[in-house]
Amino acid sequence: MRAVLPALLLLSGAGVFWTQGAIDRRVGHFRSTEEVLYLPSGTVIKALSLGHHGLLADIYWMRAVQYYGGKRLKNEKRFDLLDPLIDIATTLDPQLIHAYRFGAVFLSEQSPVGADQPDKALALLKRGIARNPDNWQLYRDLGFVYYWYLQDYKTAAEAFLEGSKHPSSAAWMKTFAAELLAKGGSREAARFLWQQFYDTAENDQMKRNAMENLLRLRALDEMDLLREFIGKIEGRLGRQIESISELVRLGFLKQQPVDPKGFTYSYNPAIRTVELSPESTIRRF
Amino acid sequence: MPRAVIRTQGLSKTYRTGFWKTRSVLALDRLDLEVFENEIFGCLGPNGAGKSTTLKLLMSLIYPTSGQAEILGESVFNLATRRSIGYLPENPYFYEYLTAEEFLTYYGSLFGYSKSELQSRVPHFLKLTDVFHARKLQLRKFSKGMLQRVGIAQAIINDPRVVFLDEPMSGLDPIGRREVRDLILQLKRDGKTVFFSTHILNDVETLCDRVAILNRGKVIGSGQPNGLVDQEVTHVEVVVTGIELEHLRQLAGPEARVSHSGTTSRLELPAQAPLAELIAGIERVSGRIVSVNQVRQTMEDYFLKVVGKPERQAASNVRS
Amino acid sequence: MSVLPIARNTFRECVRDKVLYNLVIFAILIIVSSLILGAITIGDVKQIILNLGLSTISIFGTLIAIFIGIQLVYKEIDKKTVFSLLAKPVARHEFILGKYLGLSMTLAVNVAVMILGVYSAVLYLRQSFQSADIQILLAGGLILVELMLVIAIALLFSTFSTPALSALFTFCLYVIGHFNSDIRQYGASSDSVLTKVVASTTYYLLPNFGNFDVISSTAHGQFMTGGVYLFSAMYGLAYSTGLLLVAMWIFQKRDFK
Repeated sequence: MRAVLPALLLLSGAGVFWTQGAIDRRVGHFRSTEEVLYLPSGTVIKALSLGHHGLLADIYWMRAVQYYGGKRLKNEKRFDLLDPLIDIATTLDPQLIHAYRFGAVFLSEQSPVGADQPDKALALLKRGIARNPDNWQLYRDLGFVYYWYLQDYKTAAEAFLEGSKHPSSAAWMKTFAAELLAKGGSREAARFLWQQFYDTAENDQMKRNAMENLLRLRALDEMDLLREFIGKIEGRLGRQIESISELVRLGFLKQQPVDPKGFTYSYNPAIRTVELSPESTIRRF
Repeated sequence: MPRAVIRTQGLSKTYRTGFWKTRSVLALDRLDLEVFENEIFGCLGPNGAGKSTTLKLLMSLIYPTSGQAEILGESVFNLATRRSIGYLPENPYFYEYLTAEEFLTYYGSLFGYSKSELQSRVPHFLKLTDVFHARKLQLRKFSKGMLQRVGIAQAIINDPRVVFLDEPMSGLDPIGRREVRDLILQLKRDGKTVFFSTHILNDVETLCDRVAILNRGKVIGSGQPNGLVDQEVTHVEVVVTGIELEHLRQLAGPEARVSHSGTTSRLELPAQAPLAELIAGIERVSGRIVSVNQVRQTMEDYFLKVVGKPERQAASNVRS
Repeated sequence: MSVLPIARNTFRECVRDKVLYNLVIFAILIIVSSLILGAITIGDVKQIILNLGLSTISIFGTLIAIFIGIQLVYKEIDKKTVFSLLAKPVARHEFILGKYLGLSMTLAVNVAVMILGVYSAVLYLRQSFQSADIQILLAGGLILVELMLVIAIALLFSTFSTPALSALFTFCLYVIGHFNSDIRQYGASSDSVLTKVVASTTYYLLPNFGNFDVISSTAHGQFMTGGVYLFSAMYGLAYSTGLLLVAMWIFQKRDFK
């Protein structure tokens, strides 16, 4: 018995390890999230949770995040279960504000960053607003989805304006609504919005995201400026410029201009546009 | 020299108690024991003396801290030896949802007996222990005495060579004790060795070939019940009727103790006292001698002396 | 071998335990009521019968496995029946195995009876069987393996703990075991190597009850490949074997005061 027992124990341990591996290879790692497909709705789960829906909501939100993260990590393009998972989490706990807010971003972002389903994001945020009418930030997020992902500036402005009616809402909401109505999809409006997001960011992730967008806007401005400059030089020289380095050689520029991340801009004479260097890490979408 | 059927050498058991298992209690201290074939061996001692511990060590229900124990020449951990032994635990509890018949059939099947063999064995042992009439009754409905008998039946279902009985007579009425005593004697007649524990002196005196007295985990005396006791006559008891108390005192002299109840008087005389004169004197005054007895030291006296409970000793002094 | 007589007696003990009947009757009632529920709902009635029926088998089976499982060994020690039993030619590991198999047999009969009930409900509903209905049987088999794992957990705890604590521990492991794949996913999407190692160690160490989640896929007629059934069953048996070995080891070292 003394010698046999550890051997048998080891054997059964190996059996557990091996069979679990075999199962995982067959059904995939997302078994627990996959089951969402069979669950009728969050309402049913809520009834079955016997009063512990807060805990279950957290678990489903965590599953949603893990699902999103896992798919992102593997660079997969389809996020079919994202919406049902978030829906279950927010049905279980209607006050789960961060699930609406981050969920909307995960859903709206274009593939492969997100699910590319801004309509689902809108539905999610509207459900959130209906359940939490006092939360002005959900209006801001709703406006943002309309503005940023759908380029529907009029509806976006309405959402920002609606949110700004809340006494606790940020003062810039109203200003931005006006800006949007006046200038539509202009770069100034975008810069204004991202600057507000940058200033009021609640965490590093959001702050970094806002900064990336601000840098991109600056690069866009600089590229416009450069093209304008090239146009003027061409007019003066009466011939086409082939590259930016030519400008430096001719003495019009002291050095190669670089984007906010330090990569040189390039010029495409065929279509007469200034472009980001292929190596540049400035966000492009 | 007959051969030893049960042998222990330096058998000790220390229990660790308390939540952190830090306190230790010595339940059995270097027990050396030899029980021979076809003996009835009694293990006598007050509660908590280590009798049950000894039996559980022999059944390997607990592990010894040190020392060895053998049954029929084999280590007690040898599973094969269990085929030749039987055991009745103290205050036996059995599966109360089973009937006596089912219970014995179950325990019999643990020995691997075939169905037909069980069909003959089970009724035989039910009859032997006199519970056959209640064989269809669930054990939960059994009285203590009947449970004890079923317990003995399960202990001997395999015709064991050695039978271990832990307090087989405790909690039984006089008739029940008598029956168990007869059963034990029957086992001896059948050539079996019986090892039993008890705190009842009378059982040891009437049954045992040899006895060991345990107290606080230690053997404090062992041998034949008669050998343990000082065989010398301690005093002589004379019971008389029809004589005046005053008269009797005069006849008996100053060394005698006299007590009186109703019309009978009791005299206690030293062992060597001359009796002939006394008896003649009594008859002269037409008193009648009822009985004359030589009184020896009893097992109880010995037991109390070695176990040494002062309050009990005081009590026995009052009685004598 | 004394395993079989002990198993048979444990089976008999369970059968004579009235708690068991209450649970079985309740379970049968639920399966019958699924027929009524089926009549008042819109959509796939078979799905409701399967969901409710299989869930009932699993939930009540788990209750029986926990509440009888924690008593299996404890009761024998507490009622001192183990003293006379172990003085017979019965090795202690045979005792553990016998008790385990006895309750497993009981639950196997329970599951079989209730699966029969589910089949009759399906037959009543459709007046015929389809070949895909074999899934119900496979699901029942996998639920039984799951229950055997629960028994092994309960039995392990009952070799050294009181029934109340054993029930608590077993229930906790059962619940945690259902979220085991979440732990794995968390580790998989984490950047930290330590988190990955801890998560996957936990994943393989704790019982993964997610492997036995067959109810909704069966109700939706989603046929898992045969390999999944086979490996899931093997997983349950391997894990139970390990737990039983530990239980035997603890039981072997025990003193029965």
